This record gives sequence, C-alpha cells and structure tokens, in this order.
Amino acid sequence: MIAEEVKLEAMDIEDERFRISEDLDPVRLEESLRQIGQLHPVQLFRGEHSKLLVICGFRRLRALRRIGGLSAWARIWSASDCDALAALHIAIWDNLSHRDLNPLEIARALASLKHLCSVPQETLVEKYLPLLGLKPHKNVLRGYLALHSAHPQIRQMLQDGRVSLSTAERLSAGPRNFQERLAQVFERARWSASAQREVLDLDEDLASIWECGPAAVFDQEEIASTLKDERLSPFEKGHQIREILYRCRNPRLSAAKERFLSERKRLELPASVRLSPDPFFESARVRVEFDITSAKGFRDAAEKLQRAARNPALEGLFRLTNDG
Amino acid sequence: MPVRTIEDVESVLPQLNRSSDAHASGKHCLILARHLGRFLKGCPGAGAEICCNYFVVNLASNCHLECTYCFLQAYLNNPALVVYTNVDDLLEEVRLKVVSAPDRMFRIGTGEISDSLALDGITRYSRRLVPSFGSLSNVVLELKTKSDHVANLEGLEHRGRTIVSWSMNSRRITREEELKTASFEERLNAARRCQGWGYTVGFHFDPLIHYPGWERDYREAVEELFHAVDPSRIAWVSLGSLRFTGHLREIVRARFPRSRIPNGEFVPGNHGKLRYFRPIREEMYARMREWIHRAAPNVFVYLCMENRAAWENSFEVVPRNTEDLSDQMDTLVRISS
Repeated sequence: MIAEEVKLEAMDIEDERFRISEDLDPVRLEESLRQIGQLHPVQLFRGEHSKLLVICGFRRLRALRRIGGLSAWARIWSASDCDALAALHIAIWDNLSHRDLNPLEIARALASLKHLCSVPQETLVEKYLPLLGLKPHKNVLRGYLALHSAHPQIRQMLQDGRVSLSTAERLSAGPRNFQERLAQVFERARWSASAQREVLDLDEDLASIWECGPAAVFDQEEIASTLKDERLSPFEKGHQIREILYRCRNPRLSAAKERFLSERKRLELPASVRLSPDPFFESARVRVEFDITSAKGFRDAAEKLQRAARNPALEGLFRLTNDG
Repeated sequence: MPVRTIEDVESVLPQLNRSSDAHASGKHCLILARHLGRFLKGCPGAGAEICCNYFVVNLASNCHLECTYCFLQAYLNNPALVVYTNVDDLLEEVRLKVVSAPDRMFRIGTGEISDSLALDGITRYSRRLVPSFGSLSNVVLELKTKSDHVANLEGLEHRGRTIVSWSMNSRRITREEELKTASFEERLNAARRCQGWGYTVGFHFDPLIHYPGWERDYREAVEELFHAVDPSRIAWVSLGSLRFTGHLREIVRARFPRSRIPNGEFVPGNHGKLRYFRPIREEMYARMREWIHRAAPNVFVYLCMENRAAWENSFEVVPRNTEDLSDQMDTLVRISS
C-alpha cells in the first residue's frame, strides 16, 4: 500500500457519505496527533468530484485541522478500482477491525448501504446484519433504519444511556413532531428500560383511543404540570406520568383499585394486617395476611379483624364498582 | 393456479416470511396434507373454571377469512392454509372413541383452528362428515362458521347429529372487524336454510367486543337473530368475550391499524391472556342473556371460557361445575335427536 501526503484543502471533509463514526471529536485524538503524529493513513476516494472524498479518517482529519495541520498521510482509491459499495466496505471493515460499532453507527452503515449503494433489503438482512453482529431479521433492519433518522436529541439520549435502544427505535419511527415532543418529555422524566416500553405502549393505546397523535397524549394538563414540578426528581416525574397514563388507559381498573384501597382504609386495620385483592380482580377473592410474633400479637390482630368483620365497610371491599 | 408437491408443510415458510405480511400471503397458499397424529382432542377451554367439555377435531389449519382479532395470527407457526386429506382416518378415530364409551355423549366441533364451512364449497367434507356422524348415536358434530357456505348440507342424512352454528357479532363488528366473512344477514339466511333442512342450529356471540354503543348494536343483533330463525330449533347460544395475547395485539395493530379492538380495557387473565376487566365482561354477559331470554325464554345460554365469578355475576342460574354444564348440554343434544 502506498501512502502519500495530501493537502487537507484537496479533501472534502464535509462530505460524510462514507462516514461510520458517531463521535467525530474524541478528546484524546488531538493530543495523540500532537504527541506522535498520524500513525495510520486515512483512506480517500477520487471520483467525479473536484475534491477527494473521505472513506475513513474523519476524526483524524478534523483533529488535524483543529491543531493547524495542513496535510495528512493518505491512500487514494480511484473510481476504477473502488466503487461506492467497495468504499463503504473499506469504511466498515476499517472500523470493525478495532472496535464494535455502537447502534447509531450501525444504523448509519445500514442506511448508507441501502441508500448510497442501493443494496437490496434481502442482502442487508442476510449478509450485513450478521456482519454487524445482529440477527438476520427484517424487523431488526427496520428498527435500525428508523434509528438513523432519529431526532438529534434522541440520538444524544441514546448515547447517554437515558433511553434504551428499543425506545430510541420506536421514537425514531414516529413523525418528527412526536420525536421532538417525546425528546422533551424524556429530558425531564426518567424511566427504566421496561418502564419506557410501558409508557410508549400506553401512549400508543391512548392515541388510538382518543384519536389524536401520539405526541398530543403528553399535552394533558396533569402531565404538563408534573413535568414542570421542580420538587420532583426525574424518576418521580416518570413514576407519576406513568400512573397518569395508566389511569387514563385503564379507568375502570384504576377506579376499582382506588375503591379497594379506600374501603380497606375504612376497616381501620393495623399495618400488620394486609388485605390484597386477586390480581386484576379476576375473582372476588381477597387475601388476608398478618404477621405476629407473640400470642398477644395474635389476639390483637384477631380482635381487630373481628371489629373489621362488624364494620359495614367490609361489604364494599368485595364490590368492584360503585353500582354493585 | 400454480401447483407443486412439497415434502414438508414447513418448507413454504421461508417464502411466506419474506412477504411484508406473511399472514395475508399465507391465505393465498393452500396446502393439502395428511394429518399426522390424533385428530380428536379436548377443547382448550377445558382449562376454564366452568367448561362445557367439548371435543375438537381439526380438518384444516388456518382460515382464508380475515377477522382482525383472529387468534390464529399469533397461534399458528405456519400462516399457510392447510387442509388435511385423510378424512377417513378422522372418521374412524371418532367412531372408535364414541363406540368405546356408549354411555356418554360427545360434542365434537371442527371449528377450533379453522372455519368449519368456509372451504366446504371446495372440500365438500361436510358431505362425508354429516352422514358419518349421523350413523352414530352418542355424538353430535358441530360445524361452526362465519360463512354462508351451506349448500352441501342440503339433503344429507344428518339424523339430528349435526348442529350448524354461526359465530355472530353486532352488525358493526361483523362489517368492520370480520373481513371477508358472510354478512350478518347472509349468516341468518344460511341458518334459516339449515333449519329448513331439519338441522338444529347454534349461535356463538364470541367474541363480544366492548365499544361505545355496544348495547344498542348487540341488542339489535339479538332481536334480529330471533326474528329470523325458529328459537325452538336452536341448540344453544354461547357468550364469550375477546381474549387476546400481547403478541396478538401487536399483530392486530400492525395489520389492521384502523381496528379499534386493541383499545379495550384489558387485564391479564388465566394463561397470560388479556381479557376485558371482569365488570365489563359481566355487564356484557348479563345484558346479552337478558336480551336473549326476552326474545326466546327457553333458549339455552352459556358462557365460554369463563370463571365462576363472571358466571355468578351475570347469570341467575349457575352450573355447579364443569360436569354439570356438560350434562346440561348433553341433555340438550339427546333431546334434540
């Protein structure tokens, strides 16, 4: 391989068609170039354009430019021995040879293969997904291609670990206004990965029930005021918003739960006696549990239960609705 | 029509899975195959707290009709339509089973993982099944359908041992969610024709769908049904509510984005299936039972795949257990023969 010194001004560094890396400005690269110079040549492509296109080396070239460098060691590929697909292969393999690609980089590689090189979907699924360490399934491809068009804030939140990959994919598949609105929500409220999935499911259901866009679900007054509440931590906001959405999605079940809690309170049982309904009230069964550590404790609990048995509120505990 | 011979029904899977909608593509692929293993099985409903003790035989797998809520979309691994050709094996298996237990009654249906009559115009299986069941004394065959393909049933020696049943719904649900099926009127016309040929008929309001305006729509459906058919020649009417899995909900959302069915207030029930929250189910059952008995006081109505609480809160008289319900239904078919 013959490397030559090429002036930076002869390259079109802004044309990023072959770019794979997400982070173009790693902190230590500048220092490394200052200390020991450029160790590996960048790969350039001489096509029909007046300037050379960059295949690999975006980060090195940007760092060189920042530290005042005027030229870089480079290997130049000509159009006769390298078409766009071959150039992209070089970019992908150059990266894969020394590190794993992150999801946004994988998304960019797949999108370039599809749009720049017109690689058919079947080939992307069967050849390139395994190459990138993914399962060869069309849904995987669909998710990553959607991710490529993610709103910048969502990309950043994915990189920061604030949203999971599947959440980022789902958000990216939505319209731009939805992505922007949800990015604002995710900026202020935090959820675990499974809670993120649940919140998005609830949002999707409510949008369908209310016949509105999925972004509009978060415009409710109660959610807006929760997001603005400075006293709440991001996780507390997330918890409250999830509760609000769940209550809207399941009004009858939520009412039954509240009703049960209120009737239980009216029985005035001590905290050591626990009453819990059948999961989702599927049967009328109510579970009664109490913890005691002495005979006296046993007598006390039994006495409180007897008092509760005479309380008219007890009937209400077994009613699911106010009607009957 | 292109025809090819395959060694294994699964071999069509890669081709079907390449399609953007494998479920839809599968409905255009008819496979004729031998059924391996036993035909006769207990109905999966046998897991319910109070169950009717029904048996099923599968002469086909999948269905070319397109109900948005169909559980087969999530249940079957192979989206192709498979029709089993070894009908004689099925008839012999049934004969041996019922002859071996002459004191008990068997109710057997063919509509578990397919529609009993939707393909009958092509297979003409009813012309073999009906006379064959007619020759046995302690069994009834139930042909359950959303089609009006009943022409082959005319003139058969059924001897009261075949019940032709329709899965019914409100007009709106029939029109919007049961795509490619016979209309509400077509089903009633077909039922009337079958009664005219001496068959007892049955109706299954299953799945009942909860939506704004359901009361008016279902009340009208019940009134029209009993106006159209002779209630004295109805074996039974069952009621059941929508059962869903999370996976099925995703499929329905993806395949039928306009469907309102996934919007119901569901909770996880037995076996991980989603169902309407119990008070919703109970209200629907109670109102349906009331409307049915107002129109036809003597018609037998029962719940399918329900728990005791739902029975107790929606019916005045509740079967003691599975055996009791099963006995009541056996008595109905003994009398109707």
